[in-house]
Amino acid sequence: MTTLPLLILGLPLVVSVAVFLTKAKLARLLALLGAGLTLVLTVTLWLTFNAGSTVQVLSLPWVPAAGIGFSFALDGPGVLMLLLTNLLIPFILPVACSQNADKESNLLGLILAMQFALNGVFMAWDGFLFYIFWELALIPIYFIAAIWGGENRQRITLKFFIYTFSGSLLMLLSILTVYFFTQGTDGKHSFDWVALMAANVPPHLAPWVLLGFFAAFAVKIPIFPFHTWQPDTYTVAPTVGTMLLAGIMLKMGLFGVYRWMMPIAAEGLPLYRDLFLYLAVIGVLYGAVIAIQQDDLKRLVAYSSLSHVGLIAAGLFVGNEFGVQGALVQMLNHGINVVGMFYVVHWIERRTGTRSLEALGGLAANAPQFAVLFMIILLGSIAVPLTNGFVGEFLLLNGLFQYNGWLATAAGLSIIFGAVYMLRVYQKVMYGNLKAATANVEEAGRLDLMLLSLIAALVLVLGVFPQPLFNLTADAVGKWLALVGG
Amino acid sequence: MKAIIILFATAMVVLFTGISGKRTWLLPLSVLGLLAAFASLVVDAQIPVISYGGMVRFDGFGLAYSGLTVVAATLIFVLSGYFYRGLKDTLADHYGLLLFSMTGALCMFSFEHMVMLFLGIEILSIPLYVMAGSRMDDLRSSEAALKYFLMGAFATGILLFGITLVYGATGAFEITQIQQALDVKKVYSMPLFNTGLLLIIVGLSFKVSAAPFHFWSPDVYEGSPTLVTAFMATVVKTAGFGAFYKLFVMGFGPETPYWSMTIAVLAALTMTVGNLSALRQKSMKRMMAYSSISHAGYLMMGLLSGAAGSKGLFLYLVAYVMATIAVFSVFMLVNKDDDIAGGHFSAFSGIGKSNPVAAFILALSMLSLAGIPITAGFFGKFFLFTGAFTNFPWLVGVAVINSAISIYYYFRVIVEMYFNEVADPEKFVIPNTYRLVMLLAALTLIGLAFVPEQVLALVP
Repeated sequence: MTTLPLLILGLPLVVSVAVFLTKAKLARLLALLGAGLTLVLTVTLWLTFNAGSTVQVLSLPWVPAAGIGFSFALDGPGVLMLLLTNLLIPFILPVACSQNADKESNLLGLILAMQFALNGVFMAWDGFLFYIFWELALIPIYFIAAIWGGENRQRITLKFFIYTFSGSLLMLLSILTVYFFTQGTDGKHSFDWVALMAANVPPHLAPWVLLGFFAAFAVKIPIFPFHTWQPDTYTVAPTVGTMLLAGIMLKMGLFGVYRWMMPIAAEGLPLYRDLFLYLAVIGVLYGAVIAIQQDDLKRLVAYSSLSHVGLIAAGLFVGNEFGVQGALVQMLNHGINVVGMFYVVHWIERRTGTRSLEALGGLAANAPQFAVLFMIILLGSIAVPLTNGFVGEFLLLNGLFQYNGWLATAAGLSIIFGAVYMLRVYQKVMYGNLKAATANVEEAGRLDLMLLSLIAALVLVLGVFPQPLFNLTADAVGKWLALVGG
Repeated sequence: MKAIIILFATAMVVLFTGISGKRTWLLPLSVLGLLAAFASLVVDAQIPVISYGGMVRFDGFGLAYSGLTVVAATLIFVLSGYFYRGLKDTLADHYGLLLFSMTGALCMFSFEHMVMLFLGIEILSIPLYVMAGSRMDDLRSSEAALKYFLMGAFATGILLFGITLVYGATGAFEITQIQQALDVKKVYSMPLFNTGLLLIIVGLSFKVSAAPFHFWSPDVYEGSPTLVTAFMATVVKTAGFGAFYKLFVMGFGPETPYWSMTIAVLAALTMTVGNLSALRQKSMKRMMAYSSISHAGYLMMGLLSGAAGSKGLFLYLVAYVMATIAVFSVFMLVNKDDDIAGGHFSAFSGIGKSNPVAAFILALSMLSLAGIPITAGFFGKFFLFTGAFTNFPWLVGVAVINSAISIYYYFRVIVEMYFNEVADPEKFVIPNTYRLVMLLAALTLIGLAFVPEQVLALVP
């Protein structure tokens, strides 16, 4: 049981190094094979995993004197996050290949390095190790965005880096504070998750611990008003970067809330829960309203993502069964949908050379198959029933409603807004008259259609049959509720 | 003790070899001497050796810190071969002076008697006053030497004054006896003692370039030949903190409340001033000077963590020294003529493409200096911050904010190297000696993550 997770963790790193050292075709082959194998391993893990258990994958001393261990563990939600990461990377790699990027092998290597760090974040069972992986994930994405990005990339990516790094340092302070109140088995302090959980943080410090964690996660997710780095970075980063950021990396923040912030800083929660919730719901509405007015497709999807993610965060902050279940499942679903949406945007930009809604039109006539697939992914993003988006958002709103009807109503508006801006996109891009940019566009290529069909299939299958996901999370959520006392 | 003698003897031999005109022998001789000194440190390991009637005491602390400086000096000597390729003067003076300076550094780690500390500081500094001005045709170099000398002389004067007052209050020069005096006579409430303490803090702050006594360092760093700058940023800084730690934590340790707040405030000021000034620099060397000031601020936190502080301080110094040497080795390659104008950030544009290896090493060093996981610099920061956290949480807060600010200027180098397109970036030759040093530095910066426990265990 423990070798499989270690393979999943180690394989991307090994492949990443190999990809850095090779060139061109071979690098592509290696990267795709590595990612494919990792996915197979992850699915095997998922199928054989006993969802009710928490499996200690590895526990080695690292700096014993300081209570730092090299320890990993997995529970149901952890496996779900591994599934998210390793499922999406195989979709992201072909996009990287299609960009014909300068020094492509470096780009592929960085993506795989990122995969390694992300898997590490989701498996880490030691506060110090978690922080290390958390920061490690930041470095590849910084280079991806800063080397292969668009205009103004240096300024924007540096802002992104400093912003997120500052948040993370505050989280480190929180972890340290809790650490000093832990009692390990040998009387020393310890960074182990269990020890951090058991720490008796004095009541006057508990709110500060909570806020330190919140700073890191709120920037990463991002939660209004800590989102200012996000639209610029999403727009300027190459599509692969945006997919990594929106699809997987922000789930680090959400997962951090679930695994670290809420359980460890539960004492401070009653004081700030309402504030966090209001901020999250404001973000939901704010993102949706801004998205309606966007002309740039990529920016529009970025803002819509801000809106969707706000809802997931709200579900976690509420901390009841519906909210947390919905949040966990929606993390996976949102990842699939947003990667699908960015894939579509990338395809349109590649074919037409523009992302401006005003310059696009009439694509459906020339690319009917693409139009159908785009529609399915779009519906998933709007959260229409029988798509995967609906399952999560319904639970999230339900959970929010149990806590506060008005908040739920406000957040629910976002679904209507979502329909407005998404359908507007579809109308402007796919229907209407052909414009200069779109006149010569042909049907999507076979590879594009295949990948989009896979995403569309996931949208539908997980919408009709979400039970396997709940099987993975149900027991863990039960335990979590007992810990957090929501 | 043997190490000091070996280094001194090597310096003399080097000087006489220089007179006899065998230029090519000088570098191998010096490196051999340094290696021998290092070997003698390893042999001595962990046994307190007291010599000169209690003036010098080599214990585990002194050995570890001496080892670090000897390694740093060795690497700098290895770099010197290529750096001095065009030098017409007598080379022996340069090597001899640097070796003499090293003996001073070793005295500063192993003093038992405060006079020995004073001597160590002087032996360390006087050769460097000369070395700072060793490019005699360059006005900036002379300016650096003069500034360094005046400021340095002033600082040692203040330090000596402080030592005298502490002697007046405690009646002792040896740090163990000072401790007893503190215990028995309760002198720590005497104004005489506290004034002395304050003066010593001021004197040592000058040496480690802590704000507000840092004004000399950017000009001196920029004006001195880069090799000497590298020596000052690594060996001198380490020596300063070794002495600082030994005198305060091991000497005045029991009466922490009387000086710790002063140091904490100085630390906060130092890191903030250093960082904010570094943000606006255009010259790499000036940026490194301000960066070294801010690192002095972080390092001062090591003085506030009690007896365990020497471990965190040591780890941080290892990371800082290795990163700094790597930075300066790349700098010497990029700025081949070692002139002021060649040290601008823009000189680094595009070397990510033309010299990927050098660029990678420099980027790694910058990440380490900024304290990004999983580099050595992160571990250094982590242990320093953790150590000071219980007593000075606010200081750790200031340090954390400063770490975030520092990313801006460290990353500017990375941005220049990788993201600034230059039509035809120059491809420079990397001599094998530089390759070796860079490789060792890179291995330390990455490898420390795997053996932090072992490095911490080097210091008792």
